[in-house]
Amino acid sequence: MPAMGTVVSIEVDAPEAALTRAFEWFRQVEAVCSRFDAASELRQLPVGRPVPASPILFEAVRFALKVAQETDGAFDPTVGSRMAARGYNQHYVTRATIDAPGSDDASFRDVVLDANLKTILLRRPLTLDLGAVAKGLAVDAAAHELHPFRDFCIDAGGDLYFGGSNPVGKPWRVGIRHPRRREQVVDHIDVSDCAVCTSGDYERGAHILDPRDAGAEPRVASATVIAPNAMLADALATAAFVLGPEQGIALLDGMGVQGLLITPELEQFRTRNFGRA
Amino acid sequence: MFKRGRKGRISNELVASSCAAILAVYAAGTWRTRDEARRFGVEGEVRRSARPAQIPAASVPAAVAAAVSQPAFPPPVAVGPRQAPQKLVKAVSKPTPASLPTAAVLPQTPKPAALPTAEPASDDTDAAESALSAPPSRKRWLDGYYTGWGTSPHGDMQVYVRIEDGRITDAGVADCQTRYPCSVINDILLQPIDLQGPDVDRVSRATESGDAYYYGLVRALENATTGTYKSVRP
Repeated sequence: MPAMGTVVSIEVDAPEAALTRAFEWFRQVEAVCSRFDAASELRQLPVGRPVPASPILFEAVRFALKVAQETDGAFDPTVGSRMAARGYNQHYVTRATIDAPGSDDASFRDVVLDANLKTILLRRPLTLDLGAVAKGLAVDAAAHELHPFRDFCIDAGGDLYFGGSNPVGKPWRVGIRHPRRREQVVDHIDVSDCAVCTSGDYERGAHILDPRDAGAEPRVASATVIAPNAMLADALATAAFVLGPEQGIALLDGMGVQGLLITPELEQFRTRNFGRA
Repeated sequence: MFKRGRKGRISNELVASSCAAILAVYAAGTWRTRDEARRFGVEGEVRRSARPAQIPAASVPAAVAAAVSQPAFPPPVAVGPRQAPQKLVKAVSKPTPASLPTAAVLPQTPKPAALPTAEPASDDTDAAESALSAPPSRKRWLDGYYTGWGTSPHGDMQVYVRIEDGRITDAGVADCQTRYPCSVINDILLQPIDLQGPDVDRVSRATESGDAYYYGLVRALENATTGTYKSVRP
């Protein structure tokens, strides 16, 4: 199923209705969180006035801001306008060019949430980009939907979740792709009931920028994170990509998740626990 | 520069935040999948209206009886009151209302339509007699242990059937993932043995769980028809 700018596939032995429900999460999350869709709830957020948000949007923004705080802005969901200025401004289906208001100095601190009223306030014109969170959230909701079936795999173009065991009853074996040689893997890891997300520069070009310095050259070619859920893994992979190999690995080690960063020179940096079950 | 968790431990705060967000979205999303739930509800209604088990045989027009014999999974005794063992019917639903399902409606239902059927009758009278006759002697199912998933708005359940010498000798729930315990349908679990088919009774106050069991049975018996997905009982 095409969704969120990629193709989503699910491998599971389950009734078709359950699969439909799982796929439905991708449609729901995309309809709410897409910055490319003028009709999305995200694009309807006004400036200077708090508005009630749906659970999907509120939770996605809340988590994105949480990661932004934890990473001191290395991950920042307010990069939408800067991403659009770099050319990431076309809807993947309609090819319509989007309007992305905002200034270069907007930051996550310009977004204020009220946890009691479930409102979102944009203090200044900006464009939220929830790409690194929303796709993971959809994967996790779909995984929750498929949890009763235990053994399944969700592949959402770089965001993967593996439930239970593979068809032969063993942990899923995941290859981590070589960032420059498409058909080659640099390593593999056996996983179960967790997410594996990779942020790289080889599929969509330099689609990740440093929110603190838009002109900084990326020092990572691919960042792979294994975490309990895809939303966390995707956000941390993006943050580690921005931070660079040393600080990125320090972040992942500090968070206790597994990670592998590969530089453009193909040097590998691994977390201390990488490869451990 | 950023907060660090304890060595070897995932930052509880960030993991907790992500898990809480996912659960909040998922819990709030039940209404988002309500269209699916409604579809299941419609299927349940369809199944209810299609069930001939409570219809007195004498009152069934021949044309309706013919239609009844043609759905994909007719019970061996397609018309006439089903004589389920007393121990199994404590919680079953009330009889179907007197308004009979029409022949125009029946061919559309039920949805999961793949099980082998009785041979089509040549005319209405034959059809009624055929429907009232004993189970077909030929083997409909291949021996083995088969499973199938049934779905309801309350969750899913994996249903198993055991086929020996072409007949259902055991049936039940292999994996219950509904929000209510599957014990709510205990009274109908063994009915497939007597019925030699999936058309179990509905359970009052547990209709959707009962329907999930029914749909699971249908799928398990589909697998038994082809011999695919044969499992080893855990």
